[in-house]
Amino acid sequence: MTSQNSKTSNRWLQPRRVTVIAMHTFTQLVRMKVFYFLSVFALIVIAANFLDLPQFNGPEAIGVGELQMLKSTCMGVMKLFAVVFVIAATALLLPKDVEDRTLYTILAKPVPRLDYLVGKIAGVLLLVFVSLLLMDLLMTVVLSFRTNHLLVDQLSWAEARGWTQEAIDSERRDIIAQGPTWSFQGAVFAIFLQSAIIGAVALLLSTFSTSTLFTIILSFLIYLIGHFQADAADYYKATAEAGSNAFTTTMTKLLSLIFPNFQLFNVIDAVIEGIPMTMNAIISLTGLSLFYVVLYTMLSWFVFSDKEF
Amino acid sequence: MKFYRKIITLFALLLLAGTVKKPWEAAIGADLRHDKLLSEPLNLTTRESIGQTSSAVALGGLRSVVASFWNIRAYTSFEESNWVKLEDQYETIVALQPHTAYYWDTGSWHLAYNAAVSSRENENFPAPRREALHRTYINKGKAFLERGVKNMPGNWILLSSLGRLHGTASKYPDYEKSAAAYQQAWETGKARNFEARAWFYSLARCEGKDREALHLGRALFIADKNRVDTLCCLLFVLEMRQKNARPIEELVKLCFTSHADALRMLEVYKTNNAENLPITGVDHAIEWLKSVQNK
Repeated sequence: MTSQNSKTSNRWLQPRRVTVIAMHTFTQLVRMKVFYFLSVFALIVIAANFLDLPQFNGPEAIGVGELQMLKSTCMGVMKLFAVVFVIAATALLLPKDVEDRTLYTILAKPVPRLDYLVGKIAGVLLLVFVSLLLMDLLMTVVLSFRTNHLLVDQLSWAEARGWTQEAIDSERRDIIAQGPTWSFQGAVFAIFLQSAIIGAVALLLSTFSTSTLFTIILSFLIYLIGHFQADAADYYKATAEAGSNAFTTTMTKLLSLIFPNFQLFNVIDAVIEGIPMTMNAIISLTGLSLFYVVLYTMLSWFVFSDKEF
Repeated sequence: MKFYRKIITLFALLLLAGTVKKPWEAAIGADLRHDKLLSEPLNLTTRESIGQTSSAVALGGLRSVVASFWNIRAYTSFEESNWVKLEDQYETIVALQPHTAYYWDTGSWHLAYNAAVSSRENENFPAPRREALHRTYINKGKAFLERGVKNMPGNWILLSSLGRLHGTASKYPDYEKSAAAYQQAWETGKARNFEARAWFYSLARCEGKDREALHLGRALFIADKNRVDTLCCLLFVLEMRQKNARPIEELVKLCFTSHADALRMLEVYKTNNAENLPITGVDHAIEWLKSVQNK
């Protein structure tokens, strides 16, 4: 009976055990005062709200541009925060557990190393998710306020000039499309998905790296390579046809096989321009992110499984 | 397992996974491009012009942020009347965000209006050179806006701006292009009544399109909201131009609410005609209206 209990408790990916590790990681990161960043974000959002664009062509040309400016500034800050935070936090986790000797205590118990790694990455992702949610909430409130303000201003302006009902309705639709839409929420979710992948990459690197700084720098490099590799592949494909050397072409192909294509997550630019994000796009990106997170976590486990401390 | 053997195995596994994900990523990329959710990659010239830092930020998926800041920078160039720099900056901005109408519209306005007029009034250049620069910047503004329209074909604001630019008398007008742009703007179903009237005004100034303009003017005149002074006067002029035109009294009754209104509107129409709208018969009509008033 005891042996059976022991076998059950040693089974991989026990939800309760993973949740305990994830919540511990979450608390550990919260204690690092990361949420202080939110006050900085609030200031940026409020400042961006007062940003005015040069007006030359009547208010109808300006309103949508102002909303786009507000969205692009805030989304940029959100993305920057999510990426910097997920890389730094993940790179710090394992060295900090070794330094605090928490890792020895955990691994001395019947905790499979896979559960430990999954719990750690889940804790980081939970914190990024909560942070993005709070920033999204703040952003949505400010954007709603600005959108409503513009709607009142521009529609009364349009009515005063005797626009047709169709023109007024179209103006209303154009302004609302730039406000807090579901596509906008989808774009924030895409930021989270991208962060999850780069977090999993950082986890993999930290399992064999001996320096936190090295992990952080390499993770950022991979983040940039991930954005650049699709362009590079296109470029070398074109030059290969014109007779460029085979070595660079092969290297680019290898890079594109090894590193994730982060350009696919650049849908936020289109959403800022007011193009609606389809459910199909969200599902595809979620599936791809899940694939990467599982792949890099499993590879982390492969490296970490017999690592000696 | 030895560390190095492990790393080699790791790379082998990554390559294996890569062969699975590559076609998947390609399919997602194609879908996203089809839905216009992904922009074309940045070209080398744009990367060079935005500099290393901005390029890294843009590569990091923050093109819209870089474009926003470049738009603010371009405003400084406008304040400093640095038109060469401003032109480069707007080329970069629209390369970063090709689907934002505001950037196309603003860039074209800076070139065709601000840069053109500023160059014409720049006394550092001799007169012929000033005139040449003036024309060059107007043409650049038009070309820039035409590229914007090609990028965003259904955008009524860009089409309307193009119509205005081609239809402004001081901007080397091409009334046929102006009428076509206004017509397209109106046909999007999103534009204001103004675009329909502006289409009529441009059409009336095209060589040999009198009949077409008259039909459009009559159709627009039916709606009360279109009966603005310019439209009433222009319709009156086009009716007067017809070979078998109706008597002047009848036409005044048709196009205006009263003789007094007709006289006031036609006098303003004639004196404020900076846009070179046709004025055939206006003098005659004014004289007739005055004589009627004096009786």
